[in-house]
Amino acid sequence: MPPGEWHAYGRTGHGQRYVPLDQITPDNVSLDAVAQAIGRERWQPPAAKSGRLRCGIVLRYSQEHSGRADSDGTVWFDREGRVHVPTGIGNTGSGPQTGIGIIVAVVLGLPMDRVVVTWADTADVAWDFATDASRSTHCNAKAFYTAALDLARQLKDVAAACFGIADDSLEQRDGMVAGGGRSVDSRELLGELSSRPARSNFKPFYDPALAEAAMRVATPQIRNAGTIGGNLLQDGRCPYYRGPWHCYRAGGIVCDAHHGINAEHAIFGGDRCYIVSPADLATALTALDATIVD
Amino acid sequence: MHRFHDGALLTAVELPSGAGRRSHFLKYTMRNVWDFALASIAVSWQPCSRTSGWRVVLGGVAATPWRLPHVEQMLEGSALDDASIKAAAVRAADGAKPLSHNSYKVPLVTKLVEQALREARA
Repeated sequence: MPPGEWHAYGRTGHGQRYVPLDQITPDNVSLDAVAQAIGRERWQPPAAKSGRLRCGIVLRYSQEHSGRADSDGTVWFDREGRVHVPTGIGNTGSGPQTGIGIIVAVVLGLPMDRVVVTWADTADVAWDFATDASRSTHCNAKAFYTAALDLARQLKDVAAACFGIADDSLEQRDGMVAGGGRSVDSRELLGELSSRPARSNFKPFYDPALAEAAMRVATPQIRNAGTIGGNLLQDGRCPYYRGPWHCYRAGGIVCDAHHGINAEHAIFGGDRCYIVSPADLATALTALDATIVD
Repeated sequence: MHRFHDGALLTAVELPSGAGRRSHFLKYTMRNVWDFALASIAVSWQPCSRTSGWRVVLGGVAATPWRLPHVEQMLEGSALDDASIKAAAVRAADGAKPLSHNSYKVPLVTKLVEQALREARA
């Protein structure tokens, strides 16, 4: 939000007050500033208040323990320039996926739309100490922060070699690594980065066609509950076959679609049946030369 | 195509590691969500000074994903310039046998091949 702008009439929707971000500096962060931000001067002792409703001003300050065990975090960079954050943490009401995504974006100087947080199988992702509740942000975000710092350092290291300057004079913002009057989109550094010795056994697979096909399946609710196998094994799509007709595919002798309504039917390979496969992932996986294991 | 025996379970899908491989997917539907492809396309290739290892696969136009081997062959070694994209696209619907209501899919797959290749080049 631009400094000085109000969320709503009277400053914010709930009448809270705030100090614009660009006015908060290490020098002026003090209890006085906090007191000013929360309108401490309007404070009255409880005895001075009357009436059924009492309005108060509250500053919540709390410590959340960050776990009794370590967490690991993984961030990785795909060839489209997006940073992936696979985690076993669900997006509980307190938004840990959002929070961790923002942390990674800030550390790497990336716009949020280039950070992809995936709710992944806990069997396959880095060890998360807690995946269950609001505290998962506090328990695990430091691990993702550290991992993002390491990726940032590697990107700077590669860029510094390209530019021929020291890496501490580089900075990352808007998806670019910049310094010494030059800048490079971080995705351009991937080739050089991947030619360096591997830093872990983690071998992510990312394919833009497969990702896009998966993203275009049905709806978010169906995608969250569905599986790759389920998508691939969908029966063919034809109202006559799925309906009560005894068509060729259903064991009969005629294709009802051939002389019926056939707007969504096959234009290739039809003969006695003009059904189409509804599996988007099958199309993408065929292009990737995938094989089925049964 | 994989053929399942009776009672078989799909347990895994194996993918080649695909190092350096590029790919692109488009899905044409009447609505943006909760809809089936009237046609879709997935392409993948190995980029280099000249492209190679092409796969061009259509969805929503046959009972299985439908490869276009003649288009793949035309693209092999192509620089993906406008002329080679156009030449490949006009051959996309070769061999199509539309029915009474689905002849729109013929220009649609031509268009999808062209668009996928143009976006792939970007």
